[in-house]
Amino acid sequence: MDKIIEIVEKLAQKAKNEVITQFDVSNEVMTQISLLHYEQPRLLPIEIFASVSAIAASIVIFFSMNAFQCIVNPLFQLFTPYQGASLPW
Amino acid sequence: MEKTRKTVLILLFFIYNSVVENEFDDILASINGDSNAYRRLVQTYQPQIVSLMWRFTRDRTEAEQLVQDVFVEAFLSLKSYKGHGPFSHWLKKIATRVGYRFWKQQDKARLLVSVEDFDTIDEPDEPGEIDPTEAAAALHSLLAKMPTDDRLVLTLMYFEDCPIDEIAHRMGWTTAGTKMRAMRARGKLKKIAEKEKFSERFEWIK
Repeated sequence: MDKIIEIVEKLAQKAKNEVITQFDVSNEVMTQISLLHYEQPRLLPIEIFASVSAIAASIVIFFSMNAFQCIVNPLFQLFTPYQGASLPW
Repeated sequence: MEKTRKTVLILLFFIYNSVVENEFDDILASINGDSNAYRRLVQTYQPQIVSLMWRFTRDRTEAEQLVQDVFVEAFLSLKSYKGHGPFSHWLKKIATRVGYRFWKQQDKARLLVSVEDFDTIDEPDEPGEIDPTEAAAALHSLLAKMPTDDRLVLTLMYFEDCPIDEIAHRMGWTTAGTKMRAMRARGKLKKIAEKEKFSERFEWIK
């Protein structure tokens, strides 16, 4: 086996016996998690507003569709809304 | 003798199952917002994660931060744990990616990471023997000179005895790609070690 790789593997074998000083991060982790909970935005008011807006838009579209169907030529009606006979003065 | 052996095995099986069951209970409770349950999980798996993150940095402050990051990220991803494998494996997958990102950030910042000089490691009085901490420091210093992806593969292989498919699974790489990377990384490691005169410095190791 290559000498360098052999040395590296011997070092790795020895390194596995290293005694690693343990530390306790549970308090810090729980603190970070609780801060995350505080930072989360409250979505409920936004969701209620979005739902109400969607319902209102649906109602408007429903009535608009009915009105739209009554118009003969929608584009014509937009630009020349009234085609009544001109009165003789 | 055989009967005693069987009894011991059955007892160990039940103890293991009860431990796993408790673990699942804690995981479910954590998902439902029980902070004490998650604290128990942190305290149970902390030693394994500390040992792993120590391979990514030998600075205690950085290692503490990395361990915290692992557990916070694990908490946020807890719902994605399906229970197919041991919880420790799932946790180590997150830990490996946190460590990998840490190295990538160091590369981006082009931080000059101070690594222990090989010259500080003297030949000990007892011929052939090296202190495990010094051995780990020397290997860490050598691997620090490699590109991040190669460094990760060799770190997990040498320090954690991680098989290739496990490394691939943790990083979301293909097994074939990881195998190729490991092979090339060893070649690069050899070149770097030759440049550092590694064999002359450490030829006394038994």
